Amino acid sequence: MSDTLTTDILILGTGGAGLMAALHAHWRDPAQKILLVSKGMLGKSGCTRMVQGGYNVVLNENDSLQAHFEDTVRGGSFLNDQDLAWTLVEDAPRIVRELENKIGCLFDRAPDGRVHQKAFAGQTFDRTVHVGDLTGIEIMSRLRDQVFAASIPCLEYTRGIELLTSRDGTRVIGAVLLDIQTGEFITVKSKAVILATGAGPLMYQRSACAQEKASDGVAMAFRAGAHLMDMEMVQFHPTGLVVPGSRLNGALLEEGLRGAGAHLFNGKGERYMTRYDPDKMERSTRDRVSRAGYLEILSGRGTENEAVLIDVTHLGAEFVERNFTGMRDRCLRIGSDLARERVEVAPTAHFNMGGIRINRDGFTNLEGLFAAGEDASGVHGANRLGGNGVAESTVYGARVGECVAGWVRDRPHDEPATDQVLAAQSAADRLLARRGEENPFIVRDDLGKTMWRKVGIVRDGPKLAEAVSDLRILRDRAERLGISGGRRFNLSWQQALDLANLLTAADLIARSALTREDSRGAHFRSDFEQTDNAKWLCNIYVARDGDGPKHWTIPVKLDKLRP
Amino acid sequence: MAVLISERVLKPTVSVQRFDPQTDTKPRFESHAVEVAERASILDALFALQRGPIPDLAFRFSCRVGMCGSCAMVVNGREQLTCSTLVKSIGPTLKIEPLRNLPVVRDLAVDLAPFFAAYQKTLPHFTPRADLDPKEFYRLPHDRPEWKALNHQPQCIDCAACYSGCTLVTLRPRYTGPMALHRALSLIVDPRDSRREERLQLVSQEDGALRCHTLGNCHDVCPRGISPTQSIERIKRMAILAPFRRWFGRSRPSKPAANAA
Ligand SMILES: Cc1cc2nc3c(=O)[nH]c(=O)nc-3n(C[C@H](O)[C@H](O)[C@H](O)COP(=O)(O)OP(=O)(O)OC[C@H]3O[C@@H](n4cnc5c(N)ncnc54)[C@H](O)[C@@H]3O)c2cc1C
Ligand code: SF4
Ligand code: FES
Repeated sequence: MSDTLTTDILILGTGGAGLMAALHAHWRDPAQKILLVSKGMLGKSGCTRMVQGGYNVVLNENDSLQAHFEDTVRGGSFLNDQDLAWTLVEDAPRIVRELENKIGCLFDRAPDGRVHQKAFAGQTFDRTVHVGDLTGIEIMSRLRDQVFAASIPCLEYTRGIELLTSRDGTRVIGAVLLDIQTGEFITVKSKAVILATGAGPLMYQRSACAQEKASDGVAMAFRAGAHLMDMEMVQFHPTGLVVPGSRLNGALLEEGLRGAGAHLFNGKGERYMTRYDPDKMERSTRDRVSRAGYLEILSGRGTENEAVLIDVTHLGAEFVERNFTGMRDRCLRIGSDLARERVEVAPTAHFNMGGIRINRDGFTNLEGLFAAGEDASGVHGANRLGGNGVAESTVYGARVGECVAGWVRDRPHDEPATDQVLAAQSAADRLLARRGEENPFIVRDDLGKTMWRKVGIVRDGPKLAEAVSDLRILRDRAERLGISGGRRFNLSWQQALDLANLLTAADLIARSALTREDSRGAHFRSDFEQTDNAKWLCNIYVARDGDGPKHWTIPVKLDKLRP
Repeated sequence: MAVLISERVLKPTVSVQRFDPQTDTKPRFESHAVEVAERASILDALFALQRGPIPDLAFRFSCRVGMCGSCAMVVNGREQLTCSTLVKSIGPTLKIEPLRNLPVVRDLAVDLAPFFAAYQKTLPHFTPRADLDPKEFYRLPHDRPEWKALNHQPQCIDCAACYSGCTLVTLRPRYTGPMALHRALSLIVDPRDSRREERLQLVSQEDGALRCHTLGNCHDVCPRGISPTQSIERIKRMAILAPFRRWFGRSRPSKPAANAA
């Protein structure tokens, strides 16, 4: 069969959430055995590594937690769980100081020596700390160094493929893993499992995210019976690069550019934001700026590459070179000089606001299952502010780690049922054995197109219904994949596994989007253009019911701020 | 320049190393003409192989924007960050091999364990000074020596290109290597850290900075434009001066007063 490992705390994912969870669990109780699992390399995988702009946190005496909270909730169109949003802003100052003073990140300083906080779009105060415009490299490598120092073991290039549950299905007691490099399965018995796989809207044709992510955590949690929430809320970032025929297509130009005063032009040279948000213009929230760009392109006012243009040249070439070195390099690589010319951009799928329902300490509805970071939901509501993502993953990673280290004490291990383990293994093995006519990479592309066109930035009932049936066809095609090669480090087998989870998550997104008959934040329905607070100020939940999903709604608790 | 078919498509011939140390006695090369967009990266060319002729080709990547440092390989004899290097900057034929000085897991993917093992010997993690105020950000005014002394080179993405390109690593596998030394310097000059001297001693040993012959290969291949050589030279100078500095009591940074907000 396969190896069986036993641990107290199993953490799937090694982004900001996973590593903060591991460190905080270890610091709280070094006696607990922790096992980290990464689909890529430790410190080098996931989106936290790709964080560019920075980290929102209230540090200045002229700023306030209340202001950060209100920005977050207004930005989220009041769909946020206010308890979770408040916890984010309240914990962020402590956690960012911990990153600086205990973990060792050295955030940028202003000339007077104080920590520098830059402007981000959608916010009332300049509160984003950063390391140049490539902040994630610093945060992830310093976190990795502390994980090394704490000697917390990590299985790299290993992915969780299924959660293991107790017989009655109410408790999570471990997981089945697949070592990508050897192709061997590993069964892990664990008192607690923390999902920190970073979700990721990679089922869209243009996406900014780390390429190995595939909504694995959300799909596994769904299959195990976890409650998910706000799945329809997918964030599109307005300024993704346009590089047809390259994976660089959809890669981000960071938020700070708009924060610093970037202008956006359509193909006819008009500053089109005047038509969409004349007050805030380009510094409006991501949902509005994305929708504006999308509509410009759709109505034929884009460039010939179906893009709009970002312009920072008026800020001065020297300013851009100094403050946006990373972004300029990225553009230079494809032959455009951001400091001196306009660069083609278009919206790109960026972030899942929806995901697993948690409380402030990362508990889910299943005993033993915890979640943090992008896998979770509720913090951002219908739209995430730039700079609140890495704050979420580090704040909630820390909280769940801290809490779980206490929670697992004196709990017994459960013995996984052999048939469950074998079922997970043979499901994966069946994919490897597929000899059909469909190329997994092409099915994946077609999924991307369907989601982009029918479950994208501007949605409507008929298109969403079509998407649901298209997804059924794509699932059938995924049954007829042809996979060649062996078990060891076979990326086309991995692609087949990714595809299965992406199809699951895509279906949940499309159905939730069909359910929500109003427009709010990132979710825009051209057949229900208004935000309908009377009827739709509620979260859409979904959980597995037999083989299909079951939806229900619960009104948002507005105990701290009302629209 | 690669062969230009139409304005927007290139058709380079890409030859990649295939090797499974479990089953093969030696590596072989497999070569295909692929079609890629004009602004395609080398990594895009590998994706084109994966979609078509070699679906089970093994290689590493994650961010595809030059931030994670997973995708470095040797292309036509030189280390390249494949996601950040355009096919057309290389030419009509590409020969792609895994990084050197590291064991191959399969095809183009190496095992970075020795690279990180060497790194871990350099006390690579931050250890705060006992008098560091956890509630403040250490003041670092730009006109002060402490700020100027910081390692202001671009951020390292631990891609191991320098480790692969370093002749000394090939000759002396025990050598710490350029990246670990470069990063050690960043902490040695960090006024917030408490183990700077210990670290300096650790990395200025025979298998550390002293081993470097300043050939500068690391700088030539670093995709981030870092000169590890320059950092290593600084370590050497600091190691020579350390006894004197201890003598004059200057190795500790300025008083905690600098720490007030
Ligand atoms: C390009 C880009 C720029 C961004 N810039 C900013 C910014 O400036 N400010 C900001 O606040 N936010 C930003 N974000 C958002 C931010 O990155 C995320 O909100 C946050 O990092 C998510 O952290 P995480 O720990 O939940 O997931 P991630 O950091 O994405 O980590 C997920 C981890 O899970 C692993 N994994 C995936 N599947 C499995 C599996 N099946 N088994 C085991 N492991 C698995 C992955 O390999 C990875 O290690 C940006 C995102 C992107 C894509
Ligand atoms: S110094 Fe340069 S080449 Fe070496 S690991 Fe760091 S980024 Fe890569
Ligand atoms: S894939 Fe991340 S640096 Fe190339």
